[in-house]
Amino acid sequence: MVERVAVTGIGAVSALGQSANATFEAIVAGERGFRPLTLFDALDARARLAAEVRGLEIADVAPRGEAGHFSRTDALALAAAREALGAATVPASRFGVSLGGTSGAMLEAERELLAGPLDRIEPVRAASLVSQPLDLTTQRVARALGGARRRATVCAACSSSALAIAEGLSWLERGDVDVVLAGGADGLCRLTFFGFDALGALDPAPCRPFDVSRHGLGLGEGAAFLRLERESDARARGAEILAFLSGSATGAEAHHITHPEPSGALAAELLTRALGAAGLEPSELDYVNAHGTGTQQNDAMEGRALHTALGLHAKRVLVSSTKAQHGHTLGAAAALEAVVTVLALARGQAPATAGLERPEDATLGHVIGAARRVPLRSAASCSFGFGGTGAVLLFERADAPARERALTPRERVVVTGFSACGPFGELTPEDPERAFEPRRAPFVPTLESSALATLDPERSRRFDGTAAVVTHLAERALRRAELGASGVAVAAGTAFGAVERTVRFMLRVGERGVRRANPAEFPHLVASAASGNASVYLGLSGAAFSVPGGAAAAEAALSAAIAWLANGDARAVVAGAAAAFDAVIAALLAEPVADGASDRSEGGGFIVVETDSGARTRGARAHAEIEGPWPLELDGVFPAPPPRRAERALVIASPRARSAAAALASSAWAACELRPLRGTGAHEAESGVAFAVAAALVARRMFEEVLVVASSAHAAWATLFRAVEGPS
Amino acid sequence: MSDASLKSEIKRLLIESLDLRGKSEADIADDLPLFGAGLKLDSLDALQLAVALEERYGLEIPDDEGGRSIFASVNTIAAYVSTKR
Repeated sequence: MVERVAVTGIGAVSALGQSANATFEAIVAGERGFRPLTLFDALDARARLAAEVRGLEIADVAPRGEAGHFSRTDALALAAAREALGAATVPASRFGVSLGGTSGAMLEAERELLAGPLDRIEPVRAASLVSQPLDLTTQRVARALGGARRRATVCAACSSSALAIAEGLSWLERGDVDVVLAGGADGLCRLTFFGFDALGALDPAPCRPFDVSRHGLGLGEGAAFLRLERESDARARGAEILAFLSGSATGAEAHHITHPEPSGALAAELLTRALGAAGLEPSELDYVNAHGTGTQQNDAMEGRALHTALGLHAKRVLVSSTKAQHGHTLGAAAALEAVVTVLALARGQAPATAGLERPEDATLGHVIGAARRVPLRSAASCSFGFGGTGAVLLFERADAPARERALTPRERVVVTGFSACGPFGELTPEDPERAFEPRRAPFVPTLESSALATLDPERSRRFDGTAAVVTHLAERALRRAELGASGVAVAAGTAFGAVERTVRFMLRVGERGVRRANPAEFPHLVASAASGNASVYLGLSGAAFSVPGGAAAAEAALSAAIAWLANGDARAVVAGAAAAFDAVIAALLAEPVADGASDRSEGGGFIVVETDSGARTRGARAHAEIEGPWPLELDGVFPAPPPRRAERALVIASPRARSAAAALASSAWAACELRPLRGTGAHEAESGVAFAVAAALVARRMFEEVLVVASSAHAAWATLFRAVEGPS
Repeated sequence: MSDASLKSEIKRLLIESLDLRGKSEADIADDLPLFGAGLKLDSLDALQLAVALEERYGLEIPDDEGGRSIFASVNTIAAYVSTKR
């Protein structure tokens, strides 16, 4: 019997209002948030409307002294997070913050970028893209709320915050923490507005999801969070339970980087799986808050999926898209719509789809005109995004009866495949030590071409270096694991995303206008594009997402991967990190070496992780067993168990991982040999390489245990790789 | 510009703007279908190709069925460019 997870707080900031209640009341009143853009000049874009949050003053939200650094997205996020958390304080050691997003501080970065000459790239004007990565919002929210031991950032385009909520749910089910704020935030910016405009995806008029005359989506902005805790904890402190988060399901279509697969097979499967996870029959589902963007393809796909998943009940279930009112808030969309869904259940009011007059599919239970006042037992919130990753969150009303749920035992996690590449070449299982051998700069950027050379040119068109490296390494790791593509998720750690490519896209828009933007480029600029491309290329049907996490992004990705294994949403996850040479990042971060050459390099490493029982069932060889990754607290107890035999244990740490090294020094691991990876050059995916090397070392029994430690500006982690007991 | 050199220029434009790695002019016959079968381009490519053609030749590609018929093959693109210049 797994305990239920209760929603005990909600917070939202949207074009409709600066609280969850204000947003919901505007929704049931039929208000729509679309107005002419004021945040920036729409230039020659076809669309001119957006659902902007009005009256947001960063200085009113940011902690004292931080307003000058806060992005619009940071302010939106913190305002919603404070509302969801409420007055209660939570000890940092028992608290987790999980956030989904896509654009972070892009609006602020654009101002710098477009302020200079548009015909050439001056890296210093792109500094914000590097100094304010997506995960900074998570760190700022956590810090402002008194700190949080667990902090995760997820990017999976428009399903980002659904995945962030699913990860937070997993933390509570496993007992990692007691209280989780899970949600998403995305401020409007030129990149997304002009990018969707170039794709012809924006309706110049307020959007009309599911209508025969629908003509595209309407962009919005906002942030929303759920406060989640285990039911027993909520009851013990007498908290009001607004609803239960009874199930979630995530997966990927592996179809196309932008187009949904027309039959809606994934959307149907996710709804069925989410209902199953909650122990509900389709007939017990009363409301669906659809993704409902207003594009031809999405809405048709979703309608088909509801028929497939619900059968005859599709006519009775109430369906609406509230994007017609608060707009499509991209990385925040799933969280904002989850808040709407919780309030719909709590108040017994199913919102209508504004602007819907003539449904294309009249056999669905569309709510048209006014919100319907009716008791709702359970409701689903659905999200789908570029790259093909989708998610369904299933909520039940607060008085729903508790159901028996199968207990998923906390399982050992094993590594069944690994791969890495860099200036040392390709990692081979026979010679895992080559990544330790010193290599000298300059590292001519050749990896992109060598990784791309292993891929089918037709299917890897438009891949950038990161997409090529992720796909190449995932393919090799899965081959080593002798694993097919079904049910395999991919969690790709990244530090900055596609900076150079984003800069080129924006400068071209600035110089020649939105009508001359490169539409086919835009879907590749979101941080999750590399994992989405790998998913489509390799046919991986588990969720594909990117995990921003600086120089410890591989650890953050592995942490997410373990959540995906624990909640049963993937049978295996390819987790690690990749970094391709990026001229803008290099110009900003390079440190000169001996002869004035740049130390910047590229590479990455991935491991395939599975549960021990999953690997055994399919007869796979486990190369290593994993414990962790544990977040390190400098003043706390070192979380990794001491080495069993210090002389047979190794620590791999980057010389740049200073805060991790400090934590290590006071642990029993200080007695072990410590080796840096001297063959990788400088890039942020080094700990991905370390994962693959560690797995290979213990697989060959060169060491019994290898501890990988890494740190970014905001987080330090330790991950233990241990030789698998028994004959190898 | 001769018909042959215009078609050759359009093929180079296709390869560059659509990132058709590994493809050369010789791989793209004048009458090869560009979408669906043949070159297997998709609607993202159509948007990108429209931007590239508009920029190179200073013309407008209508965003409708007519626009799509222009993109049937190199022949049809060349014919449209010729009439508009």
